[in-house]
Formats: sequence, C-alpha cells, structure tokens
Amino acid sequence: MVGARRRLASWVRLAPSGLITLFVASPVLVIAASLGADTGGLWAHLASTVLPEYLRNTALLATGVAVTTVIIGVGTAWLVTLCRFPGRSLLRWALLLPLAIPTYLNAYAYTDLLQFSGPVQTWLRTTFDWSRGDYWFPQIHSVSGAILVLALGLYPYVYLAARTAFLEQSVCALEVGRTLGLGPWHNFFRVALPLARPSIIAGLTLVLMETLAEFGAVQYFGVNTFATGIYRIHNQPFPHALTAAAQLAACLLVLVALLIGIESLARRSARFHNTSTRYRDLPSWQLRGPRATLATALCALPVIWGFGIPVLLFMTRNLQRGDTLARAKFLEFGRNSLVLAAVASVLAVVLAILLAISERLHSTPLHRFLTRLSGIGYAIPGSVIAIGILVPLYWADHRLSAMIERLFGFSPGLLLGGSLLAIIYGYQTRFLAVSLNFVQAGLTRIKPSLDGAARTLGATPVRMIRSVHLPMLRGSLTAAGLLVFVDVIKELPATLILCPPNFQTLAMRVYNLAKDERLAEASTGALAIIVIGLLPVLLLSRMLDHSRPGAEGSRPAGAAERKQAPTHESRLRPDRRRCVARL
Amino acid sequence: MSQGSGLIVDDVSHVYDRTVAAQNVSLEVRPGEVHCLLGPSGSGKSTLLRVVAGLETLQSGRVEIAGREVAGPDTHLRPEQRSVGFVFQDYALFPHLNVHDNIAFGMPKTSRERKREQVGELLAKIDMAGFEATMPHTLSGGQQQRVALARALASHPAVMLLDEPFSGLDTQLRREVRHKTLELLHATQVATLMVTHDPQEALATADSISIIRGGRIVQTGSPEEVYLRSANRQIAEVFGRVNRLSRTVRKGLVAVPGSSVAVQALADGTAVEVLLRPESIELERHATAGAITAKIADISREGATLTVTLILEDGSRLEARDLARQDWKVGETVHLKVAPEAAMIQSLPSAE
Repeated sequence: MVGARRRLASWVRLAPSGLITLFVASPVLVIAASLGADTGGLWAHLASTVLPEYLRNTALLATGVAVTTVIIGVGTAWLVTLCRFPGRSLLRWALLLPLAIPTYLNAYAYTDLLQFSGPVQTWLRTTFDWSRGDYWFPQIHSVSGAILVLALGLYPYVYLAARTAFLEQSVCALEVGRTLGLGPWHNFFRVALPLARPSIIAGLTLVLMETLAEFGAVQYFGVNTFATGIYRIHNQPFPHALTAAAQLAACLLVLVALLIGIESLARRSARFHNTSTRYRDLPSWQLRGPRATLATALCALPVIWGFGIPVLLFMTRNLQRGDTLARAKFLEFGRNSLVLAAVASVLAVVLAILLAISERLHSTPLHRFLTRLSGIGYAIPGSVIAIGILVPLYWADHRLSAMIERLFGFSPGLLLGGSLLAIIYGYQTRFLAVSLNFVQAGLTRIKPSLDGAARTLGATPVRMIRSVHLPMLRGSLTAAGLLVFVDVIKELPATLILCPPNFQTLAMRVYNLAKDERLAEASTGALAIIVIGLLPVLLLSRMLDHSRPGAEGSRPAGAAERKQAPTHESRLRPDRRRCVARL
Repeated sequence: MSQGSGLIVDDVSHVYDRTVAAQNVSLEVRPGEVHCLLGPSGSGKSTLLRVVAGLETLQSGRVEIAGREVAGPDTHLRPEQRSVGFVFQDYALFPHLNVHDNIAFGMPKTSRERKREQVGELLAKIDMAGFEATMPHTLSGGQQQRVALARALASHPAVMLLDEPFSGLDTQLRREVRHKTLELLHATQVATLMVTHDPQEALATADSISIIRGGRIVQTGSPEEVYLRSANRQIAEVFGRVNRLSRTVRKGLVAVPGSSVAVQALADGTAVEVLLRPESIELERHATAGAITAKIADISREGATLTVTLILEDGSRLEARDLARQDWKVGETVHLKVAPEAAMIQSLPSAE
C-alpha cells in the first residue's frame, strides 16, 4: 500500500520535468525520427543534385571559420591577458562587441561596403579612373566572403574561452616555463596553449554550432548549405517537401551530434587541473615602441571590422535614407518583436524555474537527464527546430480541419501551424537552455543547507521556493530573461519559417529589405537590433568585472578578506563560466 | 516526562553515497540532555542528523520524536512536520533576510507584534539585542552561530540537531559560544543531538557521548565513562595518548606502577593490557609508600603542562603529564604512583 503510494508519488514528482522536456525536446525528436520516412523519390533527387554541394560548402565554411576564429580569438586573448600596451583595458572588453551584431547584419554591411556600387569600389574607380572590367575585386558573395563575415562575428566565443583559460592558469606554471628557459613565444606554445586547449575547444565548438546553424549570412551570400537548403525546400510546393526538409534537417542534426561527441571526447582526454593554489597577477610583458603599436593594431582590427565598420555604415545609411516605413510600419514591427520576445522570455524563465527547482528537490539521475535533455535545442539550428515543429503541427492541423469540415462543413485551413503559438514554441525549444543555465547557476549558489534550514523550520516545499529560492534568484532570473529576450530579437531562420504570413518582426523586416537590395532602408532595423544586442555584452563584461571573490554582497565584508581577494577576474566562477559560454 | 519524549533512534541503518553512514545505530536523548555523536570527519555522522530531520529518507529502522514515530517502515513525516531544529555547520542563515526575519521564519503563526516581541526576547538571550535589522553577512561567525541557534529554537522544537556547530569558530570564541549555547539548550529542555569530530568538544559539551566508527556506535556513556573507562584502546586513544603496559593476571590482581588492581572477571594467567592516561601518573621527588622509581628520559613543555617521558626499571617507557610547577630535569630519578581506579585493564584477544 505504502509502496504503491510512494511509487505514485515519485511519478508525480517527475511530472513537471517530464512534461516540459517532452514539450521542448519533441521537435528535435521528430526530426531524428523523420530519417526513415518516405519522400516519394524527392530525397533521392536531392541526394544526387544538391547534397554534395551542401556538404562541400558546409565543410569549407566550418573549416575556414574554425581556423580564422582560433587565430583571432586566441591571439587577441593572449595579447590582452599577458601583455601591456596602450588601449589594452579598453580593448579587453571591446573585443566582445561583435557579439552584439548578428552575423546576417555583418553580411549586409559588408555587401553594401564592397559591392560594385558600394563606397570602396566607387572610391577606387574615381581615384584611379577605372571603369567596370578594368580591375579585379574580391567577390564578397562567396564562400570566403561568408567565412570572413562569420569569423568576424563569432571569434568572441573563442576569445572569451581563451581569455578565461589564460587567466585561470596558475602563474606558477608560466613561471616554471620561464625558469626552464622558455621565452615568451615558447612559453605560449608549450605551456599556456596546451593548458588552455580544453577551453578553447569548448569555445570553438560554440563557433562551429553557430556556423552550422548559420542561415541569414550564407543565404544572402548565395552559399548553399544545409541550413539554407532546409529553408528553400520547405518553401517548395512539391508533395513531401516538408518531409524532405525534415530529412535534410536530420543530416544537420547528425553533424551537430558529431560535433558534440568530438568536443566531449576532446575534453575527456584533456582535463587539466591546476595543481597550484597560488594565483597572482599574471606576469605581463610591457610592450614598447613598434611592438606596442602592433599589438594595439592587432587587437583593434577585429573590433573595427566586426563592430565599428558595420555600425558606422548602418548609421550613415540610416541618416541618408533609413526605413521609409519608419513612421508606421517600423513601429509595428518593433512592437511585434518586443511582444514576441517578452512572451517567449517570460515563458522560458518560468519553465526553467520549474525544471531547475524540480531537479534540485528530487535530485535523481532521471531528473538530471531530463533537465539536460530539455536544453538540447540550443545546439540545434533554428531552421531544424522550425521544421520539427511544423511537421507535427501540420499533421494535427490536417486532422483538426478534417474533423471540423466533417462536423461543420467548412475547412478552417491551418490553425496551429500558422499561428504565433508555433513560433513561441520554437523559441522555447531553441532557447530554454539559456534561461535554464542561468537559473541552475543561480540555484547552485544557494547552499543546500538553506533548503534544510527552511524545511526544518517548518516551511513546505512551496513556501521554501517562494520565500527562499525565488528571492535569492532574482538576479539570475533577470539575466536569464534578458538573454532569451535578446536571442529572440536576433533569431532569424525559425522566425522566418514559423511566423504567420501577415506577421513581421524587426529581424524579418531587415531580412526582407536586404533580400530586395534595399540595404539603406534595412539599416534602421539593423541598428535597433544591434542596440538591443549590446545589452548582453554589457551584462557579460559587468559579470567579468564582478566575478572576483569578495565582490559579491553576500560575503562577509571583512577588510582582511578583501585584501586576500585576487585582483583579477581570474576567479570566474564555474557556473558563471557556463553562462558565459552560453552567451 | 514520559518515557517516549525526546529523541529515540532505533536500529537505524543508512547508506549514503556508498558510505555506510549508520549501521544498526540506536540511541536515546532525553529532554534537556545533550547527546554527542563523536567520530572522524566524513564518517557520515551528519547523514544521521539529516535522517532524523527527514532531509534524507530513512532506509531502515525507526525514529521517534517526542513520543511520535516520525520515520519507520511505514512512516515518513516531512521535515516540516517533525518538530526539529537544525543548526547547520555553515549556519545556513538566509542571506536575503535580516536577523529578525531569519529568526521569525519558523515561528508559529501569530501577530506581527508578538513575533517582534519574541524575536527581541531571543536576541536578548543570545546577547544580541538590537540586531533585528542587521543582515547576516555583516555578522561575525560567532554571531551567525547564535542567530542560527535562536532561529532553530524559535519554533520550539522537541529535538535540536547541531552539526559541528562550533567548528567554524576560533578557539577563544568557541569556548564562549559553547557555554552560551549549552546554557540556552539546557534552559529550553530540548533534546539535543550534536555531531562533532572534536573529542575535547564532546567532553566539554555532552551529557552523554556515543563514539561512532564506520557507522557503528562502539561505546555510549557519560563523558567520564568514555574517557576514564574507554571500552577499548582505540576508543581510549580518541581522547589522547595512552600508556600501554603488558601484564598478566596473578591471583586476581594486575600490577600497575606503585600498586595493583583487583580484577574479578579474569582468570589467572590471562594476558592483559593496562591503559594509563599520562595525567593519571603522579610524579614525586621523594619516595612515598608504594611508589616505584623511574628515570626522566625527556621533557617537553606545552604551556601549563609538561609531558615527561620516563624509563622504568624494567626498561618500559611511560609518558606522564604534570603541571609545570615542578622543575624536573632530564636524567633525574623520580618516584611515581598510579591511582588504581585510573587504570583501564583490557584483556588481550588470545589470538595475539
């Protein structure tokens, strides 16, 4: 009797995590399951025509972006952490700025800048009195152009990971290197870099995931990859188009799974622990003269190219022309974006709270597994998730409309597939991991003994959550909501596929204008997205500055303790690092 | 008080993280009594407290609080239904609540004014009147400990569980806080189960002590009992150094330096070990009746006491502790004597 009741109770306890995970993970599962479905020959056709090109382009893109981001990211991280040169403290956080610009905006900016009628080529022609055909100019609408634009937007992930890793290295390891006769260069390649490798690989994995998922930029550059192929095929009027799109999506899913597998393998074999507990200011080499100028220039270039030029360009264009719909429509699109993002982020935070707290209360392996599974969508490209949502929704819609037709004699068309519910659903699948990470990180900062104290003081679990957990989580919840909000504003492929036909967001507006070569008009929306995108970058740099022990209000304010605190952001807490990685 | 009040732990066994935290543990704590679980760090003593509090689900056995079964084969009361107060090793004060709200957190429902009054009374008892609006992180370790104690007492629990309550405090502060804590606990007539790894602390605090090894209770008794009549050598050594002398029972007597101890239970010829605490050996400059002589081999000074290493005539070594009043010299011959009641006599297993 008691046993049965306990079994029932344990199922009830599993319900919130189970239902939420099923809800957010099912689009991914649908895609995975679509591999075996019949497409009436369409798949065979695809495989013989476009698939090789998709594979080639995706591989080229991934390799190019990986190499470029590692060079830019690790190089700049090494310079700003271990060398002193003019502008270092400013550049240290300015190097994060390109994170604020979605890569598709970079693509528009550089197209505008480098196209035949753009400022650069116009200037060349007028200066040297050339006309068309007199000179060779690199074509930005190419795989290499896409690599450049993606690398400029994505290198901050590697930079951040590498910088954190360098900062966390014990000064002893580096000093031993020096006493063993290694110069700065050798020290970098033989001590610092190998020690930082696991972190750099983690950063690089994020870059590659973004590259695989990249839609806006590559689509604009006419580079056909899996992500663009999914979008194109799903728009085709063939029968089985959706199934074929799902199968393409499944291919992408396999690539992502491969990537995650490689990363965890790489990390398992190389997890280094600091054997020393001594952290001091890292040794820094004071650079002088031409070397200092060179260092400043090298670190400034990614910021100028990845952030300065696009922003300046959009600002000039906006002043020149701007969105002609600015008055009425622009506000409507802006409002659509804000409402969508607000609803999605609040929902994502609520679901994250339910999942994380349920995991904390009943810390069983099954709960932990379910919670991890619910975050799977973050690694999945938006277009894949969109297809994974459309497949079951269309199926449900057909059933529903058939039923309504039978009962009432008219067909209502698509009810769920073309509704805002679908897109909100898509955002949950895609971004729940972001809010979940923050809530989990916040919860780990609440000592388990506080739970015990609350319970033994007579608080029911509900009261404990309400009066202990939630008040203590306020900061994490705000950060979680903000990040999901910004991610939703920037998101493009899932929004394009899932939004109802008569509904436009800022990102869609910018995409549509850019598609029609109306880049000047797109600048207004682009600027708005960049401004919103700056919020998490500011939050991130603030977190990096405040992550020293003792900087947090909850610690004893003893003067002695203050003095012991290392004067570096080197002690970035592990949970913070997880969040940072998610940014 | 009725028989069933206080805390009864009956045959509890519990495995946590593949460590045996408790194996057939039974103990009883009466109201007003402080019972100490003494064992090495990481031996799962805290887990036993969590089982009693209901923070861990009981695996086997029975727990009774104030005459009511709170955990057993068919019962599992939630922690909030058990009437226990828990003082955690890290005190676990709610960092977002001030001292008043922390203490009032578990108080029975009553008017705001009444609560304020009660919090004020409790704060006065712990010498912290006027600290109501202070936030926990600005308090010292000792103050945090006292607030945690007051908070646990505020809900009038039948059982108090203290997990290494003084380990975070420095030596000087520890003595004061311990004194204050005991005063408060005795005044409230609550049954207290306290966990510690520090034998001196257990001796200083407890009314009774259970010594726990590998999840089993190996001896329970008053501080005097476990210290002066330890059940075996391992237990005796928990509380400090002991001298070991090998002897054989002759005519119902065991010889100890300067006298002999009568043993009824052991047959003649049984090999025994005599355990002597260093402070139970008395050193004299002049010969007295029954004293034997020894030579001082070494002296080490530890503030108020001296540890003197002695070599007996038969060549065996003893350590004696003496107050640093006498001016002993290495090489000097002294006379020593042992009070027969201070000798712990253990029969050795015949296998050895």
